[in-house]
Amino acid sequence: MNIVEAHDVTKLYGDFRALNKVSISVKENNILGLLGPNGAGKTTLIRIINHITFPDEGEIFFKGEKLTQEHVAQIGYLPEERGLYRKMKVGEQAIYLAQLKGMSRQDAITKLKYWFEKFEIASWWNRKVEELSKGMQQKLQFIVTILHQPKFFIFDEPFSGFDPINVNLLKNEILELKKNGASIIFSTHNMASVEELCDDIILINKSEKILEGGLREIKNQFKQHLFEVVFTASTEVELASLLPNDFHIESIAAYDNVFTALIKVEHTSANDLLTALLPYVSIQGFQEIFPSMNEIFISQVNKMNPMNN
Amino acid sequence: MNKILIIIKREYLQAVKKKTFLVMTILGPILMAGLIITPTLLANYGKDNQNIAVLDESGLFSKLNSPNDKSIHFTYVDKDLLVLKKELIDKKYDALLYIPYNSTTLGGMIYSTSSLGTGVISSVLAAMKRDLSNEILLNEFNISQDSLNMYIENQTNKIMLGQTFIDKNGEESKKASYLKEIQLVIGYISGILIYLFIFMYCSMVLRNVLEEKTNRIVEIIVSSVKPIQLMIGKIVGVALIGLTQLMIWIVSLVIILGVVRSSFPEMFEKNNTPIAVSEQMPTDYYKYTPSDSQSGINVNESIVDNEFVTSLMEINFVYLILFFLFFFVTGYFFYASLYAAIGGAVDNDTDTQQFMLPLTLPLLLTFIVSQYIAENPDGTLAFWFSIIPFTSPIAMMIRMPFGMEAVQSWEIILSCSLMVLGCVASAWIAAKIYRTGILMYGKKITYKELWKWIRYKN
Repeated sequence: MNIVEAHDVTKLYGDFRALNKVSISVKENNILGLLGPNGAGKTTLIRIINHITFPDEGEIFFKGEKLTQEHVAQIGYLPEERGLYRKMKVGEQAIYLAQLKGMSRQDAITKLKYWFEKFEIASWWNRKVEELSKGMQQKLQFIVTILHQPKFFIFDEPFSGFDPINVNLLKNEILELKKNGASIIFSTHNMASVEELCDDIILINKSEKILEGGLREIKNQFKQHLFEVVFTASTEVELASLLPNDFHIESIAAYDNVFTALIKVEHTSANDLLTALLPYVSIQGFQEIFPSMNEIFISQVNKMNPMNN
Repeated sequence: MNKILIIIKREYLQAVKKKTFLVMTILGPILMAGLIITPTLLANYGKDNQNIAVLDESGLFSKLNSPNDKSIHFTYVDKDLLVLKKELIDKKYDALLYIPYNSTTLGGMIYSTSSLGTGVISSVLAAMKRDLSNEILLNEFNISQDSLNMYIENQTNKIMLGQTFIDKNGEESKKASYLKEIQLVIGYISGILIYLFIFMYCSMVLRNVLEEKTNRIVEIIVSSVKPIQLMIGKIVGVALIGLTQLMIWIVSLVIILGVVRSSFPEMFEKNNTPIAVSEQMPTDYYKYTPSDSQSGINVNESIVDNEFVTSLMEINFVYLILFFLFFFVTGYFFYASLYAAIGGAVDNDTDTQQFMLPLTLPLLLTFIVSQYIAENPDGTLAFWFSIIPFTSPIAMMIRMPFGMEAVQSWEIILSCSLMVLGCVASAWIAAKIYRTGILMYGKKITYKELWKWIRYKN
């Protein structure tokens, strides 16, 4: 079952089309990576799902029902543009934001204490926000986002401003949320974290959805049939002359007598490549190289913007 | 609804806990008192050149010199008393000193249309005493210095000076009417209060909205509540802060008045008759006999306070307070919505200037023309200023104390209805601008852009 579905969502700002018939679906207990260059319409889509702005066309469904303001309490949203009241005390502010989510004061305090201990910021409860470091403010914002225990989250650039240790802490928390059954939309420009966390991907460019699917399927879809072969050979071998035309050597590097070659396989299979190589070299390693999300992102976006090439 | 309350509560507590709130609460009344008392003092003491016409039928004061303080100027006239009274009503003079011919008593009557500044009567009396002695010395008597001094003392002590007020229709009365002054002062005070309140608290709304936007907390909040709820919460919260301040001021004023009242109870008794010239002197001056005159020269200032209280009681305060609250609240909401919209639209303080001007200008303009409105509360200017929601809160409060003669019921109804409509319209426009603006960063906002936002469907 899909926890959130957007059907043909179009959003206009005057003459500007911020989203053009974009449909997405977030599967239950999955992490969906929402990707796209700046200005593609990601934030607009996220705001629509959060019931902050409204689509001109199309509909949003939350757990099968048409999205209303009531559903908002079941969403944990960490916006990209996030801040805090600088002059307010940390604890007081966290309670306030929790109350706005519909929690009772007492409930909020109990849960906040737990999370403040866990994130090691308990001693800051009575300090003013302006005394906090950026990382600590980010922790506070994250806590407030998940405090009311929703089953659906939207994290927009959750790692910005964090040091690597805290990035790790947060990643583990996000995976923990998923383990506990949550569904998540994860929007970021950090492709490495997408590969680590996401199950599905949606790529938006210039207000339109240009790519969608499971992370593995997409990588499979864009594979270049490249194989990395590590081998040893006693003397310098002329690989290019030994291999049939179906194989194209992209690169080769030698370290002492250990060679690493990147070979593109056309019209045949990996087995044929191995068969062709076996008489001449002794193989140490062999694996298919899939494109990184980073490469897929760049190639797909550039395909639509020829000017960038 | 519950969420709006949470927002209001935060907004309120954050401001009330601040030191600036305490400072403003204490400084406010002092500033206010200064603002009101200074012009009053200036009006009383700085009234330069009171032009007093002198009609001396006795011939004893034919060379009355202007008093030492130079603020009073005597002009000798030789016209019929009735003609002079008319001229007085036409404001040719500030006052008229009439000294009739009389063999038994010395003295005169000062006629004026409104109360003269403090000390004018005593100055005139002093001048009469001083110059009488000279006259007598030079012209009438030829006696020993001792007897002369004794005689002068005797006579000058008997000089009487009465005071009579003439109203527009020529009706004469012994009592000064402070009504017009009081109406003016009440109008100005309520006008100033509304003006200050709108300025102070609307800029507070602007600041708080801008703070949320520049702090980037606004998106976190609008993911829990609707932007309109946030806006209403802020505006109401700030209104409550202002009302709290106002209540503190009113309560302390009541306490102060209570203390004053128990300390000087005679000031507040309506028909108290202190020993004073104007009360004791019969209307018919000629029947006056020297034997009654012992206390005649005591110009007792306490009568002034008494008349003041009497005039004060002619004002319908319940009616005024109700309208004050109405315009106070609606005026605030009208402007606060627009200020909130500006705060939501712009990114930083410097950008606010271009949008602030059209909002501060109407208020300032009303303040500038308030004098004309007060002088002519049933005029065209007063009418137009009091039906435009941008200016009506102040304009109406200046007019209201003058009562039904100045502002007719249909005008009040029209003004109030337009004010309410204005509030609805400004809230609607503000909500549209605010909703779009608070999530928009780094864009240079123009009026054209704002107009586009207003026309967005959702």
